[in-house]
Amino acid sequence: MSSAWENGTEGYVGTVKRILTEPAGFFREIDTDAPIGRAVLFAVISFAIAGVGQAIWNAVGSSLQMLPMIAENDGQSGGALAVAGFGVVAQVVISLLMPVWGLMGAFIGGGITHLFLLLFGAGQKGYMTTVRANLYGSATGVIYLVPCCGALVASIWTLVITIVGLTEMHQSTTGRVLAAVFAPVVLCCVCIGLSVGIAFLLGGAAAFSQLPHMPWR
Amino acid sequence: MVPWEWPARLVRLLASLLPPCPVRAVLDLPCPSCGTTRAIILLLEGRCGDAFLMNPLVIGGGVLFLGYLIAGWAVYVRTGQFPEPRWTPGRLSILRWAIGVAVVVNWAWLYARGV
Repeated sequence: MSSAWENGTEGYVGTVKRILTEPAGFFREIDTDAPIGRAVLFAVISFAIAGVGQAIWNAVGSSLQMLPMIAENDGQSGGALAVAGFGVVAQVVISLLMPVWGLMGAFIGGGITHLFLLLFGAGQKGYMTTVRANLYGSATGVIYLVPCCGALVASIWTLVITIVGLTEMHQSTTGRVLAAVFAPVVLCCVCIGLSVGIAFLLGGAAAFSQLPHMPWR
Repeated sequence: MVPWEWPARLVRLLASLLPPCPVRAVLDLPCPSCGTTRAIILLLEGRCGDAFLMNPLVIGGGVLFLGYLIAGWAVYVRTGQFPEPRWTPGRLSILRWAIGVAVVVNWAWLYARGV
């Protein structure tokens, strides 16, 4: 059995709707031995949409921050404005390269997550299955188009989808998967992990509180 | 600035925006992954030896993992199957012990080096 997206019978939009609204049903249908190409394609599209959303809102936000500078200097400190403008361009370029960062994160982050899944006895279906959960977790890319809170909501929703995906595809328990997802942050306490950990804790609390009420339980 | 300096400068810029390590701030001890960001910057600057000494477990483990990914993709392109080890209960037990020992030894190294 394979999901409709993976055998080409469902389009991108329908697949995103399914993942966002009934992730457990979606992941239950996936053939974990199937080639990962379609999952990578899905993630590239999702990350590209997320990148466009981020680029737009980064540019808008940074430009708004520059307005007082322009007003105060009345066009006289061209050097400072040029540097600020370069920063805006750099942010936009970095955002548009989101498919690259996203795929790197899915594979490298998937490796760390899979290691901890193995340690907690939950990685039965292999590393590529863990990567597949990360790739389909990018379905929240469209939410980045929402201003202000889009990125935060998308991050938390991605976490929930990934946890559900790992639980269903590895046929494990939610507890083991949660332990594997949060353990790297708790144990390693990397500076980067602190920022990510705050998002994970918020997402984990949201996931835990919502699990009994979700349609797949 | 030459093009290959960009990644190191970008990571340095991003790292300057991060908060300090809470374990070090509270306990004055390195956490098990202290030095990772500095090691990555050293790696991007081409100082591989210094990068490894900064955090051997993360850099050594990262290099091994990247090697596995590259080799695995080569096999996947040829055969359509990504090679994965079979994790029997015995092998998992060895893996857990190996990781535990590696983390403790690496942590002691970080403490001794004053990272």
